[in-house]
Amino acid sequence: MKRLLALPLLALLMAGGTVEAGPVGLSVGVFGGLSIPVLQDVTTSSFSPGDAFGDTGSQFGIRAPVYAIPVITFEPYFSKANYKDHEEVFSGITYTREGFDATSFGLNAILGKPDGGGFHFYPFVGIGKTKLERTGEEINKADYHGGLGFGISPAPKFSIQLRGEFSMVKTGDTSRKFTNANLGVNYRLLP
Amino acid sequence: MKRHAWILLALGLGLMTPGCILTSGQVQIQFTLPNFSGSSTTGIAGTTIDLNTESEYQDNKEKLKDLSDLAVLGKFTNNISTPVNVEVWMTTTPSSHITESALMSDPTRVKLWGPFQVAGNTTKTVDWNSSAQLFSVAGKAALLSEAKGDGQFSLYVVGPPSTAYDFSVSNGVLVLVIDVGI
Repeated sequence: MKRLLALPLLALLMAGGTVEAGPVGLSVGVFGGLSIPVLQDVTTSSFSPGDAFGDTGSQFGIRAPVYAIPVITFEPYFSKANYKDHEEVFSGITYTREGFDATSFGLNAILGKPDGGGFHFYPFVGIGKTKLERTGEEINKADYHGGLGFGISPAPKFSIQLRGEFSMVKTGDTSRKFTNANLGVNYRLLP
Repeated sequence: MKRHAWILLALGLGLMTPGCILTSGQVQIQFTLPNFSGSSTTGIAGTTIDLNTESEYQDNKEKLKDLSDLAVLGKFTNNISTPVNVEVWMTTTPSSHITESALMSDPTRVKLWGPFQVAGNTTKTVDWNSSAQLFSVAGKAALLSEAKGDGQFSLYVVGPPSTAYDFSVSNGVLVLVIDVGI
């Protein structure tokens, strides 16, 4: 937990340090999209490739890219996701298992700048903390993720962000995995 | 360039290693339970479960890391007018007790699940979410230990001690979701 908090603090310190050396850029953004569980609660005896993906959930959040050093953009984020309930028939009776509610926060490191003029493709990696909750089950663990983003700026200070990512919540020797696709908009505050 | 190739090769090997955090998943296993009955006057009936009879378990036993979700599902019928709190107990070694007192004297007994209340003279189907909440910490640990061990244990459904009860359970299923390294 301390290590997770240390990362955003380090980013802010680096940002603070460069205030004296040069201008620091800052944007804020909101995003929303889909999140799909991968290889969760599957039945291996009747497994087909389509079963690898669970019931799709929705995802939304905020993020704030900080342009403090060349090449790398640090981006604190906060997001929430909600996964659909799962229905299954056992012994002739239909049962419903509640889907997870997820809350995440953390820090992304983006190669390049996600917004600005023109088109931008950028890879990113991130570390955070994710809490997955449903009745009778709670997972509150470190989250590692990475993916590819695309940014386009249709107007000064505004950019549209499209991202695809793979996320993994580490649970001991195993993990809960998700694929996410989201669309967002960033607004440049500084400079 | 050569160094990058080695890094990629190492990453690739890491991903293919059995039991890697990334190459893991949650596998759902279900066991159909026989019809149970429990009575403070005529006694209890247990059932011995052998996880090895399920191909899902056999396929994943060696890769099993943890138990992530579990539920006892089924229809509970209370045959008398007094409400009953049903509990599921297990003995970690297979047994065939026919009375509650014999079960409670078994040193390997562990309370697995419950209490699940059923009103007098009614039938109630437990829902999956409520059931997942009713597992005891000790019961979950014992079940995980059995799943990692020989996979054989006995289950009993009982009412509260020193009270009159008479109930039956039909369409019973034990659902386990196990964490496995693939």
